[in-house]
Amino acid sequence: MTALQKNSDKIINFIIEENQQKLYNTMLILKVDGLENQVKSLEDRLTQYEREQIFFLEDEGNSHNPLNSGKTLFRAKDKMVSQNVDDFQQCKRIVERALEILSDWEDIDDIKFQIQYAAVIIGKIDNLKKRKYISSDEVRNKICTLLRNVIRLNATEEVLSKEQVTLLKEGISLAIVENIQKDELFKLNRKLRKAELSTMPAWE
Amino acid sequence: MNLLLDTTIQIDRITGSKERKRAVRGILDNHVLYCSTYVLGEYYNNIVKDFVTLFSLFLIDRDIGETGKRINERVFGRSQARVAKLYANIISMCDYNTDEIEDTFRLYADLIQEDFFEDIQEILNITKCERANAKIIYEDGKPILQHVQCTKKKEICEVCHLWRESKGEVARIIEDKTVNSKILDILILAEHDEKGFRGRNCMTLGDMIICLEALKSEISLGVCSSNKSDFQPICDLLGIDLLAPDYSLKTTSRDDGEDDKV
Repeated sequence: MTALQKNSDKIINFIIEENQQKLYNTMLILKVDGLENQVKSLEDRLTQYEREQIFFLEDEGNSHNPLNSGKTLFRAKDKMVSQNVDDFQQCKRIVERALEILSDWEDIDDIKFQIQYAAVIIGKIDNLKKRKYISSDEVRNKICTLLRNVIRLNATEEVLSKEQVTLLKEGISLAIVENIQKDELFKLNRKLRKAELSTMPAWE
Repeated sequence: MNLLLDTTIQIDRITGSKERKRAVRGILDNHVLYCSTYVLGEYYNNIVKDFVTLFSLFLIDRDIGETGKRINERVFGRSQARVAKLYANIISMCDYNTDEIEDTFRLYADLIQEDFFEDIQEILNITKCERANAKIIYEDGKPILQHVQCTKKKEICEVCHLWRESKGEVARIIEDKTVNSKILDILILAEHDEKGFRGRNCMTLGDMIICLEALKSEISLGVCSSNKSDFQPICDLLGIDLLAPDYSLKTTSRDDGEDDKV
């Protein structure tokens, strides 16, 4: 092999190596780009999750998924809050409607009509009791139970007076009062008894 | 007048029929009302205990039929009729819905304890009756009534002190012999050994204890009871006013001129 050929080989090899290097570099860059795109995509998803406000909390060691690395998904606090607000709004709507019906009831002097209104109000109370806002609170639940029983015990006996129906309105309004205390339940009970409404069936 | 309400009146005004409640309300109007820890203890030992037992029976199966069956078994004895009536009324009122029934039981557990104190000016504590300290507590959502054991052996209250302060009155009652013979027998025995005032005998002597509480109180008190036949002789002997509702009153006939037309 002549010196020229040797030099040529060297040059060609150098060019090839350089190109390989470039190629390698290019491939590396492409790979990094790809990874960056993946990372960006993950970041975008994370941002989206953040917008939906799902956040990761550490699982206390119960995870069986090795890829999960012990983290558990929980619903967003805000999402729960918005559900609670919905629940309260539903209860408020039911109470408002019940108050309208009770306002009509105040003017009734026919027991047959009274029974119809009573059935509707009991239905409203039953709906209220299905709502978490009511069922999860001991005092609210008891107020609703008390009112339901009062209507069941009294509405078919005689026509209720205006004062008695007003008390039912007062009672049902209490169901959605914030921070309601047990004292309010007892006060309501006493008012109902003083107004000669049976709050409990007879034992004797 | 200041009135000391006995157990029968408290039971009637809390658990009685509408007519009874009306009669009791009528008689108590315009009086200042008192009660005592002894009466509270009797109330807890009868009404509240029966209620909690019924509630617990229901919670065992949460089955309407099973609960009804168990009421008819030996659990309630003399109070079976009362409990059966309450249960029948509750299940009917709640449309046979077990969730509603349970909610109602939980509500009434609060109300029967609270209603006792309605319109009461003061609860006298002359006997310091331990049974009055019972309360309904909950374990895993199941009600338990704290148990108080009254026995002859141990003095856990001050009822004997009341009897010691009332020797003159006791002698008068023994001499008179108009009171119930069961009471007389116990009084004669207990004169020699005050253990005779404790345990089950204390419950038998309940009417007398309530009258003595009224007599020995710093406040001048009459007694109100639904049980006129037992209370009248004691009150007469001790010089205490007795007020008793008249449950025999019929509703007045209509005077609005309406004929009995169909």
